[in-house]
Amino acid sequence: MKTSIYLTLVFMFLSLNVAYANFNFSVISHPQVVPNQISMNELKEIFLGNKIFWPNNERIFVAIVEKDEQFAEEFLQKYLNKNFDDYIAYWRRKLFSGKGIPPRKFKTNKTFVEFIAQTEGALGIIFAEEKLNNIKTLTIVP
Amino acid sequence: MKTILFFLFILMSLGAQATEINGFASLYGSTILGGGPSQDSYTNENYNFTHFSKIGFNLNAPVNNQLSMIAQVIADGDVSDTANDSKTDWKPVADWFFLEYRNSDSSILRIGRQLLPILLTAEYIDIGALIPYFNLPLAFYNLSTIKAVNGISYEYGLTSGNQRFATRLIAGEEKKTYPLVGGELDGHFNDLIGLSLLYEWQWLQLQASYIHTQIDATFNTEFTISNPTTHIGQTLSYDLSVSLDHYSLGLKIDYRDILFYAEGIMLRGQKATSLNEATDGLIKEGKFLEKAIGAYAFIGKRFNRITPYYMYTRALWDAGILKDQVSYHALGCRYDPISNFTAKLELLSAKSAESSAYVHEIGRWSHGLSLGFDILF
Repeated sequence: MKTSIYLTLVFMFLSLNVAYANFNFSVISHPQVVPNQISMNELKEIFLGNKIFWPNNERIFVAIVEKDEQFAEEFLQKYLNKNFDDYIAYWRRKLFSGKGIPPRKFKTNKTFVEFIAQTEGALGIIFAEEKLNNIKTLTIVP
Repeated sequence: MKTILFFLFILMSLGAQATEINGFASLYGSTILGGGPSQDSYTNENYNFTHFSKIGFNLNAPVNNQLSMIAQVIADGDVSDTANDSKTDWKPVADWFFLEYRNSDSSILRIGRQLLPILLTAEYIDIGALIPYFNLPLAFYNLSTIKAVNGISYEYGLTSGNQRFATRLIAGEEKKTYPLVGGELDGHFNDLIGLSLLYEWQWLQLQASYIHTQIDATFNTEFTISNPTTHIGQTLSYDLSVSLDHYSLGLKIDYRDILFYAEGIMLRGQKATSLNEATDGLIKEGKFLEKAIGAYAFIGKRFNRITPYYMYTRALWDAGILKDQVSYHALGCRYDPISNFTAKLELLSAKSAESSAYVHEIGRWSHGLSLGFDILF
């Protein structure tokens, strides 16, 4: 009985790691952003507004594509346990109590990528596979 | 001076790069269905959409990586006794404005006029779209006698996995006039100091706050003096100095589309220490404030865009010689057709009772219906 419990726990632990290792999105940033990698925990804290500085004390500016269903399903729901409306409401509570500025929203992928490329400290999540110019891709570590 | 400072602040904010300006508006109307005027001023006799209707703007202007100027200006149709009781007749006033300094992810320093984190929703209570109920009953909300201060606060937050812990220390002062049982208090809240603790874990939020303040005030009260020849209505004023402690505890659960809020607030006043000799007799019968206690529980369930809810609230004010208590049942429904627009309908029943050393009033019921629309832009 004990052995099967241990095996179940080991299996659950491995499943968790496999799930974290298979990210189907990329984290992109302004080319001058200092770190080359980012942990999943840091990424979550950035998108919740709890982490606002890069290690060199540069401000992080988060950007998202408006009504991006893939972002809502594959990131918000999966890692922040929020749907898009919950996420917007969370940020509105912060904004109207003076506790932070929500992520900048862009209507198209093109304007979103342009913002990341031009704004120092900017960061975003992208699902496209294409090669982007003037953009840094951060390695996600579990 | 405060107004000049505020408008200077706004001008500087508008001049800063990357200034964010966001707005909100609420159109609220209420009417009495029966039983006479409610204890709650948002159910008035005329369905005129002035009580509690409001419009406001929020400005957030980063000066540099560490420093930001943040302000909220608001105008409302009638005195709503929120953070700033001078608001009336659509005159725009500074709800709050402060400078924020952050040099790390965990520390925030704020200087200026800021809202006190006494209740779970206290810091965004003016934005109807962000609160799940129609309004907090005033008898409960006004138990927190002070909502904003001019002062300084320091917040320290820690995150570990899905858990977040934050503590905030605040100090400041505030001048304020507000109604009390039996009269009106024109007070100066000195030496205010407060501590707020917040714990968040996925769908759970817990908040506890303590505020201590020293009040130097004039209490104006009107009552009839028994006299062998006549009964004369007189207004008496007396000066007092009293310390007041606020305690509050809040719980919020947002789990699988079920919303649950429960909150309690308690005030304890110490005996007044400086009184006019003429009113010694009056005060000796009781203290300025013995205690005030209030609590509410809210439960709602989201069905796609519709959220029906029920809320029970109870408040008791015990001023020694005068006691006032009220309980509310609110049944409402919230509809969110799009992400920045909300409509709310609420049926409110209130039972109130007042008693004093001379008069005891048996509970009286009143019923009201409220309709409101909130928009964010």
